[in-house]
Amino acid sequence: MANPHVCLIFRSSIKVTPEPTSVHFIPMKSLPNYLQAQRKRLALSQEEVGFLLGLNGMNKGDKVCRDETFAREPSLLDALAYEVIYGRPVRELFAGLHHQAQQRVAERAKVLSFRKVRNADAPRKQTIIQLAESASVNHKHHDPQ
Amino acid sequence: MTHNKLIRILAIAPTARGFGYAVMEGSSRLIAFSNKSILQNKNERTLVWVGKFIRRYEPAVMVLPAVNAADTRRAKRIKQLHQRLVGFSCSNARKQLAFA
Repeated sequence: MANPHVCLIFRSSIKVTPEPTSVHFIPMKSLPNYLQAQRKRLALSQEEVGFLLGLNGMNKGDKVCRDETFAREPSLLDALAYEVIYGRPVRELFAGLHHQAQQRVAERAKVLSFRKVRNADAPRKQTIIQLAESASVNHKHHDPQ
Repeated sequence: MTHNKLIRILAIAPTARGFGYAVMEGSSRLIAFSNKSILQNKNERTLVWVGKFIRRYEPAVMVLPAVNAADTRRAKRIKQLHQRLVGFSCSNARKQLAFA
């Protein structure tokens, strides 16, 4: 390490090879949401965001705080309001949840692809195969080995 | 953005009045940053907060100032806190390395 004033402690998700100079990082899961980063980017307070979301009561910032610390999953209406406030798509703001939903849909699509579908026309088959394939692609991204 | 290929970094800077922290993904994406003021039981409460941050953000790397560097002077309490933070991080880690 070049800077003598900094101490680094490598935690999990890391493979240390015998040579101390090469450290291999395993890709990490996204956080459930990135609301705090976006709020700080726009220099808004939690109270202000709470007001923009249309929250009532004295402590408008409390619900925003719980959203940001992953203690609560906001409703669809709140998620769309966040998209409007921060100007970023919902799937980017809630990257972890989006990935989770994507995985689950892909797994179900895999099951569906094994079933014998009556009157299976070409577009339907293609859709199911594409969704099922996205699961294997994501697994490859998750574990490079 | 379905999967994050970057590493998440948690940086902790103990100060006389508490500690500062920053969470980054890669070298350019700042996720969270702030100062926490702690008035009493500073070391214990700092460890509680750091535990919360580790559980919340699941960082791959934790960065601390090297308090024992030759040209660095830190209070005895902060040196003790640094040692405890290193131990705390190592107890949660599968593999770790330390540079100073």
